[in-house]
Amino acid sequence: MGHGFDQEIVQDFLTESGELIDQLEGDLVVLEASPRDPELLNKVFRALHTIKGSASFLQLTNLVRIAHAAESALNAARNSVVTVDSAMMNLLLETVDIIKTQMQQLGSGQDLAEPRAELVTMLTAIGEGKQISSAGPHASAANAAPAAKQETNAKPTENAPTQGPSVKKLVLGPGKADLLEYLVADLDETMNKVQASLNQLAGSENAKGGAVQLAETCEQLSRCVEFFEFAQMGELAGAMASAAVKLSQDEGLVAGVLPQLKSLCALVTTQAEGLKTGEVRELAADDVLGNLGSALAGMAVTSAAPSATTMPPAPTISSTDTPLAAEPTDREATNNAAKSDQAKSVDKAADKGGEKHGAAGGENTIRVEVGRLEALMNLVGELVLQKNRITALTRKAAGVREMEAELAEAMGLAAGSLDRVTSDIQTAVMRTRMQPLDKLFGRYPRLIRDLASKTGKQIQLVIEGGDTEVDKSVIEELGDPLVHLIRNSADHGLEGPEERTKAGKNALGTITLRASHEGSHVRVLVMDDGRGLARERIAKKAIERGLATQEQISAMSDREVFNFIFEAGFSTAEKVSDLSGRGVGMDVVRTNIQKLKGSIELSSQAGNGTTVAITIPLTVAILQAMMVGVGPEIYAVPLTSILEIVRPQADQVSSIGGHQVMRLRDSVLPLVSSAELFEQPTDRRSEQPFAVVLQSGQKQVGLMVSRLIGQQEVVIKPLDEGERTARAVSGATVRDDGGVSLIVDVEQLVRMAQGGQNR
Amino acid sequence: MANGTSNQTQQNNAASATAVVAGKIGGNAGQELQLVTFEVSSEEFAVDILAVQEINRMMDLTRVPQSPADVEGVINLRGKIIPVIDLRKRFGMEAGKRDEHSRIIVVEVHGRVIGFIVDRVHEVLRISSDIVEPAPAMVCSIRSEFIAGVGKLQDRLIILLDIAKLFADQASEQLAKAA
Repeated sequence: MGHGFDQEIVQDFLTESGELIDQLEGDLVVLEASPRDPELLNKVFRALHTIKGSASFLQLTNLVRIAHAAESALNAARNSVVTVDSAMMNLLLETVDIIKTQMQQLGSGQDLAEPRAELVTMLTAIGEGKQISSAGPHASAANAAPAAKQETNAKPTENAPTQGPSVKKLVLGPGKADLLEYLVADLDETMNKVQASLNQLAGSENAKGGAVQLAETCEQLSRCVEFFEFAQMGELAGAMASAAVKLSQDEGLVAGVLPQLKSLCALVTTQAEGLKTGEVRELAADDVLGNLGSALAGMAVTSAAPSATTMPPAPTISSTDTPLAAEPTDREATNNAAKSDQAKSVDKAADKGGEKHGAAGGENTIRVEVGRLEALMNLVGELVLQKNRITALTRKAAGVREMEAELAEAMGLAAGSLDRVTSDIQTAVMRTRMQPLDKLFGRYPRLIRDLASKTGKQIQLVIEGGDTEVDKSVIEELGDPLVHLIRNSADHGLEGPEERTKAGKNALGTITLRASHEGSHVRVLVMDDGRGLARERIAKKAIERGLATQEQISAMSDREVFNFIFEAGFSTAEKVSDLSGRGVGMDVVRTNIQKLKGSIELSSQAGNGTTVAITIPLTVAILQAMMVGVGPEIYAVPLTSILEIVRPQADQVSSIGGHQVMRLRDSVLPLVSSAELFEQPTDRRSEQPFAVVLQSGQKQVGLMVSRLIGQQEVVIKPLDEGERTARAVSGATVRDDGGVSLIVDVEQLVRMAQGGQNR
Repeated sequence: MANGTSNQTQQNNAASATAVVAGKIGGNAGQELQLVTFEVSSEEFAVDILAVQEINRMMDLTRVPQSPADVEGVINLRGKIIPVIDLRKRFGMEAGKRDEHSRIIVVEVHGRVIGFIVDRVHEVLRISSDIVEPAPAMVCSIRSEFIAGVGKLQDRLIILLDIAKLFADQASEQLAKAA
């Protein structure tokens, strides 16, 4: 790949644009429902614009080309030249897919694929609409950029760059057009102010005052022009404003930044001139912005206060203020949107200089590599162990006779506060890994849209509780199962519109995703209001596949019958579609959920739909476990799998076909000796009076153990690869006392026990 | 399993002290070999000091069911769970008694951290590579592919182990067993 950019910059681009494109995808689907929402249009447009901007900085021509075409189309929609219909949406979504692919290619160091030429042409055609407002610059950014660069580098003059501005006629909504003349009148004055501030900045005296003044003026300017949707002009003014804020904090940068500011000022002046005659001039400014970023990069990162907050509230924004009073809400919204966007684009400019700095718009976040958080988690786990030892030693020391009482007490106090601090640290570190489920749920509207168009059904997706936070790893693991479930609901669960109408239901089928916290667990429901599961068909299939006999089935509850669909290869779909029906879905879902130490339940009512409930722990690294003794050894059993613990009486236990079973209320529970299961040497075995009743899926097993030690929160550690061959053990953990305990793999165990019994 | 825990702190201290001594001596290379020598079943073996992470006193092992016979169990090495192998079993020797001289030598092989139990650790030894010869076929009781060479000292022979082979074999055997 010939871009020759720092891998770090590329990585930043990928992360940032990756988030933007995910967001964009979600927003597009929403946009389809309300195609005239101006804010949404703006949001989508800006996201794409930002991606394009960064891509053109990295000279990713193929990405820029497609993004640019889509941007033009969106701009036409923004200007109400065209309406976003589903045909256009398909093109836009295809664009998103292409950009995603290209970003993957960039990530793996391949050359970017060229976008489908037809797609670019169509999007561009939409962008041109029928009217004069061909959106965006015609000269591709990649071509225009070098030209501008030459110019600004040669002489950063105050004159406007004369070549190649793409000019378009101004198109404004009726409300705004009237206001334009106020703006134009005001612009001259503003630009004079800017000029004066720049001069003051250049002079040695009171450069700081100049910077503050400049920041104020530019901020006003950018807000003002953003209202009129002169995106580029706003971006430029915003960049100047934020640069000025920095200058006011660090005057040492003035020399480097001033020429860039002058160039920007010249660009804005040119645009202002254009507005007088009703032209919107798009100028090639990416390089100037890039240079500005580099020039700013020399400064300290730390106390970069958000520009929006350091700015004193503008007392007299502009003359547009008065006529606008009639529609305050509208204005407010636009302002806010403008502000945040501006912050983003300025950020971008600075990033291009290769520096990460505190966001200019008040976003108090930093990106941290996951690896570092994981390392931190491990260390905290260790800290907790050491803390436990200190506590134990302190207790022991207190019992020593020669120990002075005062000293013992002091040690106790220190150990106590160490205990508190450590658990606070543990919680804090854990929280750094938490993310809202929206991150995941945000992907599904697109999925629903695709499913709806493929199946010809009308589907709406309702998302509730998307702000529920879970561990990052949980989010990753939960993604695939949810896709399966949603597909199932859309493909099998929901009926076609006609069938629904006939059944007296709303033709529009609903799939609901609902997340909520339940103690240390999170519960995710996938519900549809479709036809529900057909007990008869599942029963028939189960008998066909030899999973159960007719008699067994008749004795089963609905729930037990439904659970057959979790069996591998089980599908009742008459024909296999490309969506689902191959029967690989549900068992994968169950396996994935069980990997997360979670459980899955299914309930359904014929005609009223199906609900799948997934319960998973908030984090996978920590497990609530019951510690049990097996002879001298101690094992950890996941608490979520334990139904109850009983002490079987001799008359309850009997033997069927060589296997021990016990009668527990109305059912027969297979018993497994843990000493046998774990191949304990016979000389170490002891009596096993307790049966821990474990459940996996719908199956239950009683695990016989010698002692019950108690409940403990344990940190799951992987076993060395060579040890994975061990069955019925899913990992290991370090106990309070520093010893190692193995964690029982309940799913495996139940499967083994059932297998043994059936055979 | 729970009884040996109270004095584990001491054990760890002692272990890290040993590791520090070893670390000081290790450093330069060249023709000179730096080895950690130890004893298994009255025979003297050695491994390259660079492969050795640390040497610990014997500690409580947690048995792992269904693991290969020579895997004694797992231990907690400062938060990491690592497997521990009994070198006597690995070599096919008769089981010996563990006493206060028994040590767990922790090495890193192919990115895996593995501990192995030896009867006692002798010393850190510098020898010239000139006195190391390829292993004769029947030099001792262990399989010849584990042997990197034999160091002929004035008064005794030291068997240099190829721990990469010793434990790579381990991994593949386990894989075969798992399959």
